[in-house]
Amino acid sequence: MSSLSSALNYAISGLTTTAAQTALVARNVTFASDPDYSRKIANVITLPGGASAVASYSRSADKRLLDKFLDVSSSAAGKQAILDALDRLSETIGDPESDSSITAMAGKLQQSLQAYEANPANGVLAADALRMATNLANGLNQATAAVQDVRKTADEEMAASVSRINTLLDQFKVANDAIVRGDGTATQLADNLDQRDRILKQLSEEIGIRTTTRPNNDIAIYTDGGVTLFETNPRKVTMEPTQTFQPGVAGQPVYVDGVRITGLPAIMPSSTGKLQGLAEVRDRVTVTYQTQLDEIARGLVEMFAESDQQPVPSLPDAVGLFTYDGAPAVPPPGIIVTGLAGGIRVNPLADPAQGGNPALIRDGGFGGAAYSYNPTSAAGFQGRLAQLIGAFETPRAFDQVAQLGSQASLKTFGANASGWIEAKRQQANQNAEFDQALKSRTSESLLRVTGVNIDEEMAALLDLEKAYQASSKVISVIDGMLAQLLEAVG
Amino acid sequence: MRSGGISTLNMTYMLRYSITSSQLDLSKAQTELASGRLADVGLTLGSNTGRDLLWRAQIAELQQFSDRNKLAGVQADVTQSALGAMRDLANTFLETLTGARGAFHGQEVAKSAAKSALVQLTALLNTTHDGQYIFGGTNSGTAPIADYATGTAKTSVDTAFAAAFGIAQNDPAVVNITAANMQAFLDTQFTSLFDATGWPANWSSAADELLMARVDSTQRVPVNASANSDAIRQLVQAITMVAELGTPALNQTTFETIADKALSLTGAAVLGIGDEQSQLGISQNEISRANERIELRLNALTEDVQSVESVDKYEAATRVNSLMIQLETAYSLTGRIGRLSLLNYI
Repeated sequence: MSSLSSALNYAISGLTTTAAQTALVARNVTFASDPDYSRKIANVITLPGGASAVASYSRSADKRLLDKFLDVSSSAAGKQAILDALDRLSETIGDPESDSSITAMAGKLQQSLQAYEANPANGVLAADALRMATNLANGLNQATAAVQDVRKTADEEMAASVSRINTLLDQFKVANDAIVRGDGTATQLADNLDQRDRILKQLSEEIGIRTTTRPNNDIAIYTDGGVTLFETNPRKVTMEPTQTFQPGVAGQPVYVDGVRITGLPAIMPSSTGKLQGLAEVRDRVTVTYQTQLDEIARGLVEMFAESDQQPVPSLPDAVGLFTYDGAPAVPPPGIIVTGLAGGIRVNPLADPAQGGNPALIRDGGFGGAAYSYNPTSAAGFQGRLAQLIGAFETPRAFDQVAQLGSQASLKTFGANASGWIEAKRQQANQNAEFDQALKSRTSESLLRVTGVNIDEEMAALLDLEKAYQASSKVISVIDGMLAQLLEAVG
Repeated sequence: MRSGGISTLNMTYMLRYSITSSQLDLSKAQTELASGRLADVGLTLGSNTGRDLLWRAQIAELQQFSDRNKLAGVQADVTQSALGAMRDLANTFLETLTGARGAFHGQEVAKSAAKSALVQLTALLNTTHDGQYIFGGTNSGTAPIADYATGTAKTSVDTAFAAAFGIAQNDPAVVNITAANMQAFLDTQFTSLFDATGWPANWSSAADELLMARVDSTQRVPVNASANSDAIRQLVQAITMVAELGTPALNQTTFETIADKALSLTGAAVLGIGDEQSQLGISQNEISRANERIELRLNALTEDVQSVESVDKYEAATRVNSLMIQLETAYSLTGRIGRLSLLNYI
């Protein structure tokens, strides 16, 4: 049978339970603005004998939604990395109005040659043609430097990403171990679960991940390509940073647990995440764009190359106004010379600042007297200039590795290269915008489930307040009754 | 787990994404409204950017053609008028010589007319335009004809005369030169001074090739002339023979031989110069036709570039308006939602 003392016990357990629940409300409210905090719910049980107690805490969580969020977040981070790089690459083209593209510079050179052709005796026009040629060569050099800088930045960010992944995996182990062992109080356990999800979210931005939950709430992490990142212990992610990037220098691949996940050929390639986006930039987009620049430069060297003008030609073709490290040999048509865009320059023989003579543009003869198209140095000689001007429109062979077809005039090829980058950027921008919107929506859905609603907590607090008041009242009534009893006895 | 629940953070975040994207769109729309062009041309055009760049390069090229064709037109005009002056000179000489052929003291009249014509012709052949000798062909940097009196031309004429007749032109013995001997001299030794090898060696430093003007990206037309043309050589030969061969002491029939030869050469020269003038006229015509074509192409290309790069200003203005309304709504909603709290009521 019940007694007053058992009634008192119920009331006191009620007070303790309510206090614990209030503490939880306070905690929920405190972390209401932390997007990684999951709302905690107290599980109240009835003890043998009828008293109540808070036995454990559960979290508002949804693994399906979290997995979806991790997916989208990886994808968005990868797309954003690609878009950022393409934005920088498109700076080598600029606004079409600004005439800073290679195509516009080539057009300007052609025009200055036309002006020179109209008045071949005019030294000022020769100097102007030389200046335009120098601008074009510099433009190609600068574009190459910009492309290699984008690669270098991507490589540095990849190295940073790799070290961040390793740090996160180490932190993950600490949280995961505590959960598996069931260390600490119920609240601490719930906090560790939060911490673990937070790390997963951060990790997903760096690399695409899949998780599986195993007995004892242990979690194993795999890359989206299937390589183990964490199973009881973190696996090592490694990448050797490259000190200096040059055309033709390949970046080092990323290994997870000894398996190559980026680079060519990757054994188990990763398909999303910032690391993959950066690898795409470093190993594909920039490399192809560089081959296009190299082909433009090779086309220029070829266009301005001179042939032997002796009555019986015996010498091989030699470089003319544009020269490079392999001069005087002219690179064979349609075969890429890696890094040519970085090394192309105006022949010093035409540059008065280096003791040269700009009239060589009109007369030819960079390779010696045998190559002179105008041996008598007639002031009005137009033949060579007319040839050079025509060469801008002549279709020529380009290497297929540049992905822009095998035949085009130099100007069209240059324009196509710009179109290629802008098309990539347009696509990347659409992808990134789509993923960003998706991420924002998924994050909202996740927050709906895991987030704290302060109004709800306040309403619960009102309930708890009433319960506390009731329990207190019970105690004070029992106290009165006991006092009455003692008085009667006494 | 709540179904259909919402968290306080949701309320805060709800409008954040839409506000940032609206702000981004607004800044773009403002740029477009101010410039009338797309805010990010490359991003909007994508792969068509290449075509746009080519159009712009072509526009720049055509504009240059249009500017330069004006200069080429002027150069052709100058050449045309010099040729006209030369034809006038030839005609005048023809008239004078015809009149002087059988006239009393005809030799003196003819000779002095020829001497002054030679000086005038030399000046005409050395006409410059914009620092270029218009009768120089492609060798436009050097005067095509040296002054006769001091140049190699006179020496070679003197030498040839002395070799043929054994006397100098001013020797009174020239009266003994027969018409037949003179005819033979004129047809062989003297003519060889003006043929394809004799002319450049004795007279001209011009190049045969003419200076061409590019009127559009593919077509080139000649805009100057060469002192080496047949007509000019014939004219110089005719004038020189009258001016230089023998003193007025020549036998009348011998003089008439010279005069006949000179008349036929001058007549041929007048026709030849006419041909050159009409050739140049074709060039002038081509230049003005090219200009018309360029004008049309320029208009079309400019429209093409505008059609891809420019934005409809009204559309952009409407966009700015609606984005601003959208943003204002979002701001006021954020403020109101922020004030909504159970705490205000308990």
